[in-house]
Amino acid sequence: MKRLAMKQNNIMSHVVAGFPSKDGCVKLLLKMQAVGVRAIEIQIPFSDTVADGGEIMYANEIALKNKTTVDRCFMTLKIAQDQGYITPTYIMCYLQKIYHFGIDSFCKISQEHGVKGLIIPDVPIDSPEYSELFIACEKYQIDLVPVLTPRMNDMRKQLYLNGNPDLVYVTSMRGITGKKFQSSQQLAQFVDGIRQVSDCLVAVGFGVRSYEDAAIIMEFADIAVVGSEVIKSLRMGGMQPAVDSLKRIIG
Amino acid sequence: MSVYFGKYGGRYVPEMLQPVLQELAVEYDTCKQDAVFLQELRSLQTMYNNRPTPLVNAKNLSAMLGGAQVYLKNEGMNHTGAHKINHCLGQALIAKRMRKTRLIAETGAGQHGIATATVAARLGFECTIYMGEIDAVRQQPNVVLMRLLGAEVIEVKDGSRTLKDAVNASLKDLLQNSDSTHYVIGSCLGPDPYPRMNREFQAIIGQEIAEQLQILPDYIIACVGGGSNALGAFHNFLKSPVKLIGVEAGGTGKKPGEHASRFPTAKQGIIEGYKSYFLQDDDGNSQKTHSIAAGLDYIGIGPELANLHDNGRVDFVRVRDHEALAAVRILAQSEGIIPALESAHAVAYALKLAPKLPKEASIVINISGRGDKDIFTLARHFQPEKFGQFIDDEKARYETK
Repeated sequence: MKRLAMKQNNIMSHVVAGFPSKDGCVKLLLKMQAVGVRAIEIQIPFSDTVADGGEIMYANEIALKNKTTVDRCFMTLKIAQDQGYITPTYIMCYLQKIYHFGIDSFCKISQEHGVKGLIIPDVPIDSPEYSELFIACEKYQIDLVPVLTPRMNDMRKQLYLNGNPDLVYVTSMRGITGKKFQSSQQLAQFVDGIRQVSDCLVAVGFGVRSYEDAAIIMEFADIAVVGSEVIKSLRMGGMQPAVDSLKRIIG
Repeated sequence: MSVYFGKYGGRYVPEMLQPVLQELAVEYDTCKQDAVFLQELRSLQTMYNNRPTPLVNAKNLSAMLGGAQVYLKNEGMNHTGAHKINHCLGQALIAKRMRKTRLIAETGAGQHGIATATVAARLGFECTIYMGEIDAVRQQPNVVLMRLLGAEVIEVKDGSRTLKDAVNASLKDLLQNSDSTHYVIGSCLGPDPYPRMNREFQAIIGQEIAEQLQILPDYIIACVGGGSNALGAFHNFLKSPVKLIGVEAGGTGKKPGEHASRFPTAKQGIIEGYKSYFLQDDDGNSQKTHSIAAGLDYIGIGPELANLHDNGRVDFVRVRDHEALAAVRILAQSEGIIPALESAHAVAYALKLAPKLPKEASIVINISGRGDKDIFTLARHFQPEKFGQFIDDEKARYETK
């Protein structure tokens, strides 16, 4: 098994803005930066998180109780940046929140905060909103990151890749965030298929809990996404256990 | 086949779910033209279910109101007591064709859950029903019945613990189990093909109204939660001059959280896989809703109804909890029919409308379900002391056993 070099670690960690609190989230971003993640995806909390499992749903609920609006998510990012946060950041958000905020406005505010790209799990390629988002992301020079899955329709996959994304996000198993990661031939083959037609980076997520899980992903992809596992440690133990669990996965 | 009704509808789900929905759409489009499928469905509707359901001439009520003639399309006479079984039978037959072995469903009032569990038992499927914890508490008798029918009932403790959370839990289950599992969505909403598929299965209501009444009514009135019974009653008449009225849950007031009336305050949004009008807060999250009728207590309206609202074909009004309760008693005592609290909303509006119309006019009220299931709510309002005592005595009987 390849040992991940600290310098070159390829982990993208996941936080839910406003969880455990606004200040807590800022601290978490800075601590994750200190541990040395490659990128972070900040999730905008929402009331109807269809693609998320228990841990992230819980984090969303708490964040909403803390009145974490879309504006406050960006405020959190700015506060972290004022304190030295420079890690490449993606915003993960369900379509409804962006639709409500206004697609152009959302992309604009993302750009103003130095966001690298948007990861939106529920905006299909054949919807009018996808086209609007694509245009707005081009305009504001941020990456619209397709969320793809093995066993998806080949033609649809190609349509997403035709947009020339810098990064694609591949969900590693059928289902929701946080269930145990299962590596499969199918996943590796799917990622290879992407590489044959695109030079985008490939991030793989859902259920990564250990150094070993991440190492398996590194054999065929570029980035392993870690979300639920760290949020679970945060919920059960607090900031330090969360950071420790991330360190363990990074190796 | 378009997945939109005007600008509403769509298939806003992660790519992981697109293939199962695409497969379902193809299968549905095939089945609806297949004479064998249609005959199987017809057979179940007439020999297992109780169709055609009666169209009752509400002579006493009409005389009492002194205006238009009122007719009641009594969907409460369906097996399981509500119109829900119409789309459960249709979807279960499609699931059989797709070789699925398991049905899942969300339920608010419990009627759709019971209908799904019933159909699962009859047609040989495993069954899991998701119900928000708050709904499960107020409709506990239905939970008992679902389990008696062999279904697993899972009380959803996430989020607001009501219908929308049960929908989310069902979508998650489908995400993980789509090979074996068909999700029987309980109304004309969700991602395509559900809205149009369910409307087609419910359209038998309006077809029967046309055959039974023979003349065109002036009005058809139906309560609206997701929109299944309303669209079922309306669909046949969309191209006619019949006035179509959807009655929403006015709850206890106009403030957010006191009602579940999408119109006039709801905004366009994209939630639970479709674009429509949703009751939302200032930041685009689901709004809390309330209705005495669990089946109407929901944030989103079916996309086809959203479109019919925008193009003016269907008018929307709202009725308060206390008006619906009063309507239950009025219909019960004038015609001997106890409507479900949901359906009572339509009755309540008709009570206001009929007196204003001439005697030559006619109104059809879609009585989407019967009210036996609401016994605890009805008792609490109409006979609280006696029924409260009954509950204490019954509890004591459980304990001494």
